Amino acid sequence: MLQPTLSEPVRPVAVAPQGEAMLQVRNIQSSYRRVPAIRDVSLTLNRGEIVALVGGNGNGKSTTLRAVAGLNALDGGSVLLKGQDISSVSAHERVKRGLVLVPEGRRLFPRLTVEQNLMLGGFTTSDAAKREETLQFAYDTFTVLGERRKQQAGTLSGGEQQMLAMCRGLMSQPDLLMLDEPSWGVAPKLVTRIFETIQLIRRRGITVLLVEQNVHRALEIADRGYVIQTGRVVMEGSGQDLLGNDEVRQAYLGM
Amino acid sequence: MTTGTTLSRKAPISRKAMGTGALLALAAVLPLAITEPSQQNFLILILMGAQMGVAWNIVGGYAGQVSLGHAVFYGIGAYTSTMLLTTLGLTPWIGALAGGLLAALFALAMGWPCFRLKGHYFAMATIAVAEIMQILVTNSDFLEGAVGLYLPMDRGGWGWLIFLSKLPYYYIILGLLVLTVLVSWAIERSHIGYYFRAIKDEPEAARALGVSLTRYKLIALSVSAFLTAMGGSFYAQKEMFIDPGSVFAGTISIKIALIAILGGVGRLTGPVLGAVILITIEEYSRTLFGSTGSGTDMIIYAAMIILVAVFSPSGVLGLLGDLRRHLPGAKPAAVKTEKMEVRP
Repeated sequence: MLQPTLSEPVRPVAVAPQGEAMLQVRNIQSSYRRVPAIRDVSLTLNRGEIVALVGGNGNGKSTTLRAVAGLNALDGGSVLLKGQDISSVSAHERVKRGLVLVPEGRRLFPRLTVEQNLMLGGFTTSDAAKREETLQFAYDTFTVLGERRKQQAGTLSGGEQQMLAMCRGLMSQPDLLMLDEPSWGVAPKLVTRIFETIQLIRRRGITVLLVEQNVHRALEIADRGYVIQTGRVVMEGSGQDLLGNDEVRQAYLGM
Repeated sequence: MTTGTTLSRKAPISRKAMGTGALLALAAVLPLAITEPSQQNFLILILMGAQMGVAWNIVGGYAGQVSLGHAVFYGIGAYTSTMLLTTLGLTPWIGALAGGLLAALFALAMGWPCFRLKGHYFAMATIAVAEIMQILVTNSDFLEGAVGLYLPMDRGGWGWLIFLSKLPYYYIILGLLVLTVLVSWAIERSHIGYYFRAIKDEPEAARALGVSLTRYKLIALSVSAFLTAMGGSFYAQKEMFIDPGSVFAGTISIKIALIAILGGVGRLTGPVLGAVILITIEEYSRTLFGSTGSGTDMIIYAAMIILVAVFSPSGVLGLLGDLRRHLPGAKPAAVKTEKMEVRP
């Protein structure tokens, strides 16, 4: 079994050849009650990549994830998962096809237990062995979840809840996991753990699309990043390039 | 750490099963001890109330979609089995099933547009549907309109579910209640039950997890409608007369919901407890205020709603849970916060 350890440094995997894209987002637009939230967003995620989507508040990061997940309707553009156009596929069907969103604010089921929350993620797959293995991974990685599996999810701390939310997402056996602000409301000490976990998730062969306020940390672990501003992608590059970019540093890192 | 956890949804049932068995045995012998017909009738009314409440709880409790129009399913059940009996001479065994199926189909048709509405707006839409249905039936010549339908008096026995004694009705409705509880219990333990609760608590998260909200709400409503309609068929068999006012009335919808809310929604035993309390109060007040004219039941319903809303939104079951926690020697709630650990 995969050991959840990070003793050796994680190297970004080689960029997969064209046509092997896990996700292609082509010029999508989406709005809330006719107020456009994203005007022109295009992204490409290759298999096994961690890609960060960064930008200030209200620039359309969450809307992009929600539109890709099918929770917000598209006004234009298209979304391709593993080469298949899923633009008109329902949100629940997208989950079955391997596209899973861990929403902003975690959205756990507070009155259900830790284990029941995980099970709710696991019902989408019929592969019991895989489900069991993922559950074991969750409990091995976060022993606290195993200890508290009979405890109501609402009683966990912010950091624990985020761990649970990510594990619940994993239980759906995603090929692509989208994380919306995973470090939100998490004690600073635990933020490191969150980012370590994202790297562990990638090691399970899962592609990760990450939206973060914590731009520095996000770009550090990301293979590539996109900068979004007023609903448009304005810049893209490798994580290191964006971190070194003066504009990015000024706008988002305060340097 | 090896947790050895499996994704089993099976909860330990031994003690609960014993309690349930004892309760069932008591229910089975109760009418042998209480032989007075009016008192047997009172027990039947409690079981009818419990059956309706448990059925309502599936959609209103677990899935959190509060329907205030369940009389529409009750009425469909009563009218379907009765019409099949009076026109085609079909036994109510089949008639009740047909009524259930028709009600489930009606639930799908009504749920499709109504589930576009959320919360109070959904509840208001269900009221409207039930009211419209009552008006339609009242004005339908085919269904004898406001005059109502009489069941044929010339046959009896188990084939026709018509009896002179109260005793068989007691056991039939007990059986129907057991069936309804079993369906509810099976749903509670299955992934469908988890989906229902997920939809109730965090619909957005449920969608993100791959749950089709509309599909599961429709499942909840149609299963609930099916069982409620069977209760309606039973009512027709027992009373041998139905009219729009007795099976499609708004008071029935409120009573069905109130039984579950009073006892405790989203819990298997809540509506049973609610029925015992509500029907007891209702029957006693009926004999007490019998001469003051109709309307006392509505006053009582209103008072109950206010009391539940103010003192215990989680119903009598929730109140009992609170009491138990405050008793000396009670286990503290399992809330503890420790430092978070992540393996290395």
